[in-house]
Amino acid sequence: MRFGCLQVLLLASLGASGPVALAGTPATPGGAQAVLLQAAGARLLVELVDPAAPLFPGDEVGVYAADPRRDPRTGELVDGFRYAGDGTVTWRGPLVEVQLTRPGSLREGGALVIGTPLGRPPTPAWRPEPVVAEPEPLASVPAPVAEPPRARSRPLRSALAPLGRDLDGRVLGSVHARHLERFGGRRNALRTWGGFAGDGYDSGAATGGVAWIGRPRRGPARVEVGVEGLRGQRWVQGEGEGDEEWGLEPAVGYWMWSRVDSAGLGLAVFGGLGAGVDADGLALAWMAGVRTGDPDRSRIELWWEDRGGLGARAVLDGRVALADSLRLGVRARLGNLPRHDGDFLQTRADGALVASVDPAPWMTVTLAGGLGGYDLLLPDAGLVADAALEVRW
Amino acid sequence: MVTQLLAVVLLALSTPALAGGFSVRSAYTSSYGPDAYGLVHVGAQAGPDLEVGALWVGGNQPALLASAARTLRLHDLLVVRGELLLGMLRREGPSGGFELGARLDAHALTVVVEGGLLAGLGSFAEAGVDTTLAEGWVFQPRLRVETWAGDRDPALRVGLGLRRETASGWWVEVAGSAGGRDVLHMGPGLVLALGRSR
Repeated sequence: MRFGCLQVLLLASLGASGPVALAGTPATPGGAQAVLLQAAGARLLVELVDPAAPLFPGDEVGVYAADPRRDPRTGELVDGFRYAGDGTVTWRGPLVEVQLTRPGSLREGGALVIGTPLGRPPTPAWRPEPVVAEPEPLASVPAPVAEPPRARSRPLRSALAPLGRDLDGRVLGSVHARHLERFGGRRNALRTWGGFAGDGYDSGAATGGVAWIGRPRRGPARVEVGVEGLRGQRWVQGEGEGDEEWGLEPAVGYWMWSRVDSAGLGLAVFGGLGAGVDADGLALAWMAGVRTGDPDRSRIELWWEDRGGLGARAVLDGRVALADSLRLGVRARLGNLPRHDGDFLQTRADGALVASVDPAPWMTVTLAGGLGGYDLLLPDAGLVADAALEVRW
Repeated sequence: MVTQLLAVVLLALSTPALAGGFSVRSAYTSSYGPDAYGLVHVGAQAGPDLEVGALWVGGNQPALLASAARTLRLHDLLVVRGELLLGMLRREGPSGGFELGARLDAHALTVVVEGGLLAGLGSFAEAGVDTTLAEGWVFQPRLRVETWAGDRDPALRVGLGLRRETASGWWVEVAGSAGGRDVLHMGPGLVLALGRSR
């Protein structure tokens, strides 16, 4: 308290104006506040906090760098500025380039103030003197020396790191930022879809649903909750003999559905749970898969989905972005959805071409069409067609 | 039926081909016996590291599959590629498989190793060394073991290929091979491929 009063009196006596610096909160040196983007030797590329700051090529300036230091009494980190030398403004645009008279050790991303030149050598960064303990005269056994903490080993993260870079070694970046930039900051969407998958033998399933999709600013790339229904018919084996024992019966199921996608452009995992009812009562469903690539542009997804008693299938869905708003790809599904009830080959496959277009940032339309069945014969093939509409806000 | 499906796939993927990166790889392999097959692999690229396409195999065991591939640089000198395939065989029903490959760049030489497995169709393994003859010209000797087209006894083949790359990103490959399961079942093979890097 005494020191605070003394400081106010001292500043008042010196005619200080503006906000009074309180203890532990140093005043900002006069000048233009900036952030150091890049440092290449003595050349600095900085971004001004106030783009209208009066700085012009040829101006002689002094550079002051934010340099937090540890209070030797309390051990706390205290903010402050260090005089980093004088220089000349050599380029002025959206950014400002400053050529220092001698290179200094500056931290990229750190705060700077570009102010009055002092004409003196820069202040060196503070380095505490190492304390050398003298051995005690009678000590015969050296004291154990504590090893410095080792960097935490992350073998899995290291092994997966190449997935997060392109072939030129560039880091692919954040899936969150890409989505927000691409769709104008819209983070919510309503997705409705429906379609039919037949197998050429009057059996197959129509599915449809509606879901809310949220894209958080951080954490999971996508969270989805919705309802989904499946109706169709499947072959079942009855009590009769020969061909009469076979018959078609309805296949029905309705679920509440959820899905979560991890963030990641190189490799992401996703999965979901569903619970509802089908002809046998309580129906549980789940799905799990992996994705590589940007989910809103070029990407490959492979997942397994299990609808309990109604069957399961594997899905491979790959799409390539041809333009900002158009993606084309292929989709293949292998499985037995809806599952038949009898002792015969149930696994079938379907393939479809998929087109996805964004007429506006708030809307995406996806269309898929192809054939499915038990072999590659046209008489045995069934039609596969589905569509989805996603509206964002 | 297979031809119609292939026409649809080719037509659909011709748009990406016109837009930028694509590849079309065709091959015919004969062993002068019952084992012969041809294939066409069409792919659209989203940059050099991701490709989506379709594979048609004809011959003893026709098949049509969707494919998706990702290429990774594990090291400055090492690039690996993985491809997933999912689709259907002509008679055997649904099928799936994978292909894995690696390229190790060592100055003027590039060591190439790849292999794959497709349920019901067979497997293959191939190795070779790419040599740059001149700017844009690459010589590609190959050694291949395969059981494709019927999953029969392994056949051993040797081949020589030539690849031409242009500054605008276009490339063409031509390769010829010979081999088979034994001296009575040997025959020629031919590979034609072209594409454009995006």
